[in-house]
Amino acid sequence: MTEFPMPLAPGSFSLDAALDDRTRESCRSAPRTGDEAHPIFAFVAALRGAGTSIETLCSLCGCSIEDGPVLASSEIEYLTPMQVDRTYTIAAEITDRIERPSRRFGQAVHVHVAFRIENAGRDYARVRLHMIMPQRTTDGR
Amino acid sequence: MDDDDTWTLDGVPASEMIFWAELLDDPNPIHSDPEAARRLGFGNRTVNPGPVNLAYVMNLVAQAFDERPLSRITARFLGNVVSGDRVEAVLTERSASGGTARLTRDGGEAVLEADFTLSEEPGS
Repeated sequence: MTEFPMPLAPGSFSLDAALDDRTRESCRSAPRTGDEAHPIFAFVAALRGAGTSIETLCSLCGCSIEDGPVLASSEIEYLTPMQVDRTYTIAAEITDRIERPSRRFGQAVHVHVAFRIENAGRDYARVRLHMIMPQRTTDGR
Repeated sequence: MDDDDTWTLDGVPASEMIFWAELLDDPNPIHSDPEAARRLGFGNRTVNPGPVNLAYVMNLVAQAFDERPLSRITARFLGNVVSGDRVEAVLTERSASGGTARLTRDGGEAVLEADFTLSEEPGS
């Protein structure tokens, strides 16, 4: 049985000004002033920059992305505002995996994942996600 | 209520959901395929990725607090926003150092609630 916490493969995320511009436009944000990126990029960098896809994350937890994992909550701590035109390093680990009955899914796995976003030795943000993954029973339901 | 304490978007665009799904590397077809959304019980409109809803709330905070940087934001994802929805983000509590916010969709259904604190103002 896999033990937790489980470190995941590190990764990186490049955040350029054009991407920040497009993302701001997409979510109808005010334009950037200075070089600080939209704060949602802590979330984006964590998910996109981790060396493990959501599909693999589900698999590591004994679940399948085909069953429709959902995001329950997130916590983002900003240590330094993220800036555009930087490439960030992302370290991640699954901190906990808990099986619970679910009114919505019958049985579900609650997965907690922690990410650390840094650049050139400086911490920029810490992100914690709580995901709920439907768990198929042995009879496939 | 102060207008700065409210942020709205009339008609969440389906086209931008595709952008966000690619940005987040999220293969879930409910964000791009109305038929897939229908099959999975979301009606025939595509579903906004959850982080986009959080971005809307961040927009509100930036607007209400004059772009002061966030120190921490905790969010609970309570429901789904679908294409065409009118969404509204509102500050439900406000102090000098932060507050709470709620994002609702058509009919007032709460889809996200967040608590946040802000970085200290320069010179404080």
